[in-house]
Amino acid sequence: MKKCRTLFLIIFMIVQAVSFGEEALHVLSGGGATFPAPLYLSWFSDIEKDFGITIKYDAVGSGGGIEMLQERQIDFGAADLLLTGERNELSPDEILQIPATLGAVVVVYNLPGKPFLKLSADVIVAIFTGEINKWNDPLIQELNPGLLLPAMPIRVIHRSDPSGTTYLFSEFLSENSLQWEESFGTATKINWKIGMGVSGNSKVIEFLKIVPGSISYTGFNYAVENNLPMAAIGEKLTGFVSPMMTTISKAAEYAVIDNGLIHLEKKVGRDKYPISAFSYIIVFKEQNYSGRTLEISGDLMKMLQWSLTKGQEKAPLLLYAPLPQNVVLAADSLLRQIVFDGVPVMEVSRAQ
Amino acid sequence: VHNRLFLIMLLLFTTTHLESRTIKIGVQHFEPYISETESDSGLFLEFIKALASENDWKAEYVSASAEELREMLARDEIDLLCAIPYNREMKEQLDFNRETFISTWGVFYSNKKMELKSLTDTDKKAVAILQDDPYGKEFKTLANHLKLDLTIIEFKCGHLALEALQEGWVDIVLLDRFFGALQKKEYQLIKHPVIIAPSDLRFAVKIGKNSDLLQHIDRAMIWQRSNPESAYQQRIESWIELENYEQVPVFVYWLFIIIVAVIGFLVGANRLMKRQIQHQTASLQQKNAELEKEIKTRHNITLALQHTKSILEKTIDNMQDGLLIISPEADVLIIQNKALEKLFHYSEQETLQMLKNKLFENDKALWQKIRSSINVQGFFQDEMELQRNEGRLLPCEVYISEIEHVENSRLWIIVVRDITERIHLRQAQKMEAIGTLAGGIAHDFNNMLTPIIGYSQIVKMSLPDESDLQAYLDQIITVSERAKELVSQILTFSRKSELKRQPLRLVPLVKETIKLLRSSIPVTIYINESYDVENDLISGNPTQMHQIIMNICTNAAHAMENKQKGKLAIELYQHFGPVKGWTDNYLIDPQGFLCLAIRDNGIGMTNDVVRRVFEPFFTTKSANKGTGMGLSVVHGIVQNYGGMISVESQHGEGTVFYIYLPTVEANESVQDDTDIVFASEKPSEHILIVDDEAYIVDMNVHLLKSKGYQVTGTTRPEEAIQMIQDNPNKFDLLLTDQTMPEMTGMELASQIMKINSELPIILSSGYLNSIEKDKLHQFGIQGFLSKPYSMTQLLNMIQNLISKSAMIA
Repeated sequence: MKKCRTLFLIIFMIVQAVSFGEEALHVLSGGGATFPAPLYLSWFSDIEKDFGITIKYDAVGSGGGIEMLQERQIDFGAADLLLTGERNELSPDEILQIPATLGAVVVVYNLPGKPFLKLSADVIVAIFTGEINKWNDPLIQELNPGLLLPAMPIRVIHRSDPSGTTYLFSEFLSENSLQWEESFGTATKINWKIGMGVSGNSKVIEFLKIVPGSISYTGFNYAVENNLPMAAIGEKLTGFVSPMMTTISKAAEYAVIDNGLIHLEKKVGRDKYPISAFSYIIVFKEQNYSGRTLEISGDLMKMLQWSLTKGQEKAPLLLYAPLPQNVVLAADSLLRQIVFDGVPVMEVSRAQ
Repeated sequence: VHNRLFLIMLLLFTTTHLESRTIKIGVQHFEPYISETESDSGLFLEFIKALASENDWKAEYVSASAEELREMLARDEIDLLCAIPYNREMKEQLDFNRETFISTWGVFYSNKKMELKSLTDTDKKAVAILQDDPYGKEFKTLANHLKLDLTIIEFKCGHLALEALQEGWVDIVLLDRFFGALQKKEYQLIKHPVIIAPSDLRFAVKIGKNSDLLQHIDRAMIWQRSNPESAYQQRIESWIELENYEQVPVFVYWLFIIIVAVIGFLVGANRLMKRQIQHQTASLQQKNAELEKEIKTRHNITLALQHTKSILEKTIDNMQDGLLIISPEADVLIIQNKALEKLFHYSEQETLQMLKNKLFENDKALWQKIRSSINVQGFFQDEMELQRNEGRLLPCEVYISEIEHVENSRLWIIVVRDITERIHLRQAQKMEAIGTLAGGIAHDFNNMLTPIIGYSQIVKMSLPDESDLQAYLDQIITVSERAKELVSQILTFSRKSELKRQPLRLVPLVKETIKLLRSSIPVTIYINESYDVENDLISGNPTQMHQIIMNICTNAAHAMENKQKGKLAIELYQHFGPVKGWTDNYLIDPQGFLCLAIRDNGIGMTNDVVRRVFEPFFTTKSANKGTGMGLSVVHGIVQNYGGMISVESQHGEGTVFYIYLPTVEANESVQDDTDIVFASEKPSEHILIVDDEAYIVDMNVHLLKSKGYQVTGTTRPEEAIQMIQDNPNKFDLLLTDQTMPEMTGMELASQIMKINSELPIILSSGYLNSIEKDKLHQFGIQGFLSKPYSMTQLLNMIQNLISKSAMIA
């Protein structure tokens, strides 16, 4: 009997050790926006080296990320747009939307000679609604006096899937064009009257390259990577601003911090690129859900803190504009609101 | 017309309360059912338009996306939706009319050939879909499920999608079945056999609202459907026709391909067959050539076989030996060659009978011997006598071997060789051997008799005539002389006698001998003589010839002793051509032979006797009737004369002896040695005597000394040479023996001639053939004495030579 008991004890200890081993694996899972995915994957690789925390990220689009978080399948979601609690979205009260990086939507086109175009919000609306359908239309020509534009038909390519990029683009157009706001508004998916719908940023660029005279919108980093000409956006009076790391970061300095929501207005301005936006990491304020542990919340906290500090230093290398200091501070204040069983995780992990 | 009237009546009746009603119709672009650009075009809208017009309604069209339209319907902002797929999802949200307006589905088109047999074939391709149709939506879902890596481009309308296809921006377009059919020709579309999202399109209203509207639609639809003239029906039919239009060309295309393929196949097959036929023809020609070659080869083989057969047949027929091939039971004869026929003079049947008698029936022991010999050593070989057709027995060597024949049967190959000649040769060799033996003995006897007679004569001369011993000495001399006679006969038989020969006429000699014979044979024997000769001259000794005739005739007389009428025929005739002797040896003399045939009808001789008849001391007579030397001596004499003797005898019938003798020309002289008269006066010459036999030397020394000669004797020829060398003129005559161990008398003579060519030389010998005799003069030999010589002969020759030499000197 004694022997049996000893044996049982040993087996129990082994089982315990194995289960402890599993807990010690430190795995986080997240999913959502495709736009910041390259940056995030780079970050998470570094974090695994620094802290031994493995982070899985599924780039399923902003909508998908929100959905997964809503169902509490993941530790964090990622979205390019600010959740406002409309429809079936998560209530902004239970979540925290932490700006992680800066993105920009740029207008790209496929024209012979890759000319540098200047476009105003009105002209963009006219193009994307089909009011202007030739490249040598006087309205475009007027904005680009030095260019000899071809008499090619304009072929609009837009996103056919629900997309944060579309949201930001339509948001910009809505903010600057009453006509657009009334006809289409701001949405992840627009009921386009013209053009060709393609799903995903990569496919948009792929198709744009095929179709001569085409125009579309995409993320800044995609356009840079594919060496596509990007239109400078502005108005004749204020001037045109080209999308660049500096002009995008500059836009972030105008961030609006409103009741825990940090976002950017898309109004055209003198030295800022107007279609700039934050990409957010979304977490539940209360971390104790679906049997999660304090350790996981601690790991999540480490990830978020690293992203706001070291992550920002790395962002320009991957063509993402770093967050300005004011935004980092605002974001940091959001991290403090993350709690586990009501106790701020930052405090607990710091105490540990 | 009646139908239409009825319908109008019906519609009027059912729609009275809908009078001047405004119906708001939600439309979204869905060609060819709803066209957004022209608000009232498209199959659905035309139908509604007609219905509204018939019912006097007012139709208003509201354009929005499908989703928006459903929202609007829910908010009662519109009354009716068109071209809504009748499926579970939609049934939950909307009320549908009962009748399906149209059944349709999505079809993939391209303008380039490509492999598109399933959805997975769209992988890595750019596919154009329409924004609001049910197929694009379904395709996106399926592509997502199948995890296909493709680019889906959504277009507002089909024409833009088709334009993109034409521009090459997209690879495939997913279109409505009928829209595709309508555009097919213009855009040169290739339809692929993949369809997607089959849908029944119907009209729909908000749940629980406007059900009367749906009833109107259903009724109108039923009417339209049942009426082939109706716009709806005609449109549908034209579309289906268009759709099928592509089926026909495809069918025709395939048919064409098949026909081309079949023609191609036939042409190919034809060519192939042609080639094969050519190939086969070539192959046949080759085979033909090979066959011809083979036929030629076979023909050659046949010729060769015939040739070989002919050679074999000729060989068999030309064989000296008899050849027989028979069954071992001697009941079937397969081959009998000509030689066998010649030997035995049998027909095939007679041959078989003879063999059967000889080998199988008469002599069981012989049969056993043959059988066991074949079994043990594979053949049988023996000598035996086989009977000829005429009854004579032929001495034969029989060789029998057994060979395997067809179907395990066996054959005997029998080779029969006539061995008469062999037996004769054997006899001749025997005679030769006996002759040599007898000659040798006779020679020695002669050597012994010479001193016996010599000394006896010396003693007789030394004794006074009145001595009693004279009578004894006479006895010795008489018996010795008889012995000398016997030895002489033996030597004659062995052809070593040296009787003088002379040209001799045979006819008188024969006649004379017959006279003598007449008196010595019984009177019952009739002697018939006949002569048919031109030249009867031979070289011979009359005594010997006499001896021959007497001997044979005496024998004949003995053979006819018991005959009532003995008949002795003596024939002498000329014979030209070859002569066959007793041993079947041949003699040829261009001058021809004289043949003496002596024939009797006596008891004859058996073959065994014939075979031995010439052997010395062989006799069938009783001891007192003969010595058995008679015929031997005859044989010896004839042989010595260069002639031949043969004998034919048939037992019980008689015997014939043929004696062939070579003739000589009349002028030919035969050397005649006449005796020299012995001189009586006492000589003083010095004579050298050489003989290996010491007693002969002694005898001669004694004899010649007694006659007054100086005599020196030696047994060694070399000593004699030495003596003459020392003093060549010392001797006046040399007497030498021929046969000596150190050197022959001739050799001695030739040596001495070199020293003193004048010296007379006498050679003596027991026997010496004629050739050697001819050579004597070459060696300087002037005299020859045949042993045993008499003292008188010796003294005469010495005296003769010495006097000759003196005369020359």
